[in-house]
Amino acid sequence: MQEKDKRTAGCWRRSVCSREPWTKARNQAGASSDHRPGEAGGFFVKSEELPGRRAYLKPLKQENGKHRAAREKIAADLAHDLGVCVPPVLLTSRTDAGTNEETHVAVSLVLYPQQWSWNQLRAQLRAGSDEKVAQLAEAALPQAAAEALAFDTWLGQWDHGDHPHNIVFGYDPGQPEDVHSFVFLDFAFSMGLDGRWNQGKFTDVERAPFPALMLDSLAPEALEKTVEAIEALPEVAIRESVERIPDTHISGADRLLIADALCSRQQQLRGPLGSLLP
Amino acid sequence: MELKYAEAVIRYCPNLTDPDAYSLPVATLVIAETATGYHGATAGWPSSEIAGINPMSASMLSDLPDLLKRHTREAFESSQSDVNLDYVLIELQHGLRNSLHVEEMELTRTVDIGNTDDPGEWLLNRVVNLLHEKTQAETRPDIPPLRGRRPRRAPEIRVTPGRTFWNQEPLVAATG
Repeated sequence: MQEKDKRTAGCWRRSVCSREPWTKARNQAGASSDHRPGEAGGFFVKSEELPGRRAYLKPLKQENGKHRAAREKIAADLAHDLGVCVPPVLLTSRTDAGTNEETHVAVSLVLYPQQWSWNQLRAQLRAGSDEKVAQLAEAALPQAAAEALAFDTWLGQWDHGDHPHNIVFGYDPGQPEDVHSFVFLDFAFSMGLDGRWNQGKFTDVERAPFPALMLDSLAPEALEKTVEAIEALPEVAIRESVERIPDTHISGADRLLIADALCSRQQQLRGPLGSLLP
Repeated sequence: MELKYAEAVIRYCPNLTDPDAYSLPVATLVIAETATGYHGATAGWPSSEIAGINPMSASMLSDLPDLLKRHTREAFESSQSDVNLDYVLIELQHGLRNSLHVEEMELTRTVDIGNTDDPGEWLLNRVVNLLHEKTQAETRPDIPPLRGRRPRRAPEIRVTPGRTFWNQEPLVAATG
């Protein structure tokens, strides 16, 4: 990511909520419809918080008890601490939410001018494309896959299987060295959504579903390094990332459950990931 | 021949980070159901004709009709035996949500295409005409240039878009 975006990411990591309101942007390229089951919908927004930039606001639908926005914020903050490429997130509350729309939402920064869905890129990689984007992506894949698999396994993220677009490859053609990276999106289903971590089930740590092509390319040394980094995160820092989420966006019970679960699971990754470690 | 069809316009956004960037229509898709089965047709501009495009994106969009055919076939296949044209379009929209994205969908309608057994010609004309229509509609003088990029322009009308037609396999017999 560009240097100015690194500064923004650091600033958003230190913050919890946006200082400024967000309004619908004219550019809605790529907005999610809510036609499909499980889709919570969302739309692109802009704000004086970061003039000239676009972010994705979600969820659109009100679904009591899911706390999708809180999960997005916690995941983005922890990813930042570990150097995993997840867009920075701020929480905000809408004043213009319609009937049955969620008021307490998250905004996720769009990082790259150009982004290609995993679905589209995968076909080019499989075909051994000699296109420059495919070459850049192929070179970046082993480390990005390793970092994200360790992170997803820790968070119980199961929405990065062969999902068509929750993984994208982004790049900035305006930069001299074609700044680029894989970007891992949408953590709304992670950290025990729908009761999957209830009754102590968070101790059942399984390897996160992940695209086969990414697993095949994964760099074991990078996986080891990321697992070590997760194990080394101070418990107090993990708890602080969760406990600072305001009551508007998460219940006390879910806050406690997620903090306990993350602290428990951080030392349980070597079992499910063992066969992929060096 | 009576034909049920649904169609979509596929656009390219030159800068996803910009809240005011425009997306240009670069391709069209029509999928159809007849008494003999399911069919698809796509048309797309050569990537060299797309305003504001950079060389790397041009290479990613180098064969739009084939790229969309592949994505659409995947969407058809995901619906298995219970094919619904609207579902196929929604799946396609879900799968293309970044620099290349589906922005306009017209859900299923019915048309009588006359005394023919071959929907191919009608479908190919439809996708090409739709692409021209959408492209011309976007080149209004009141639209400002893209930030830091060349002014918007439509591909020259003399340029022929690439196009392709296929019968969706396996053919699923329509029940009428």
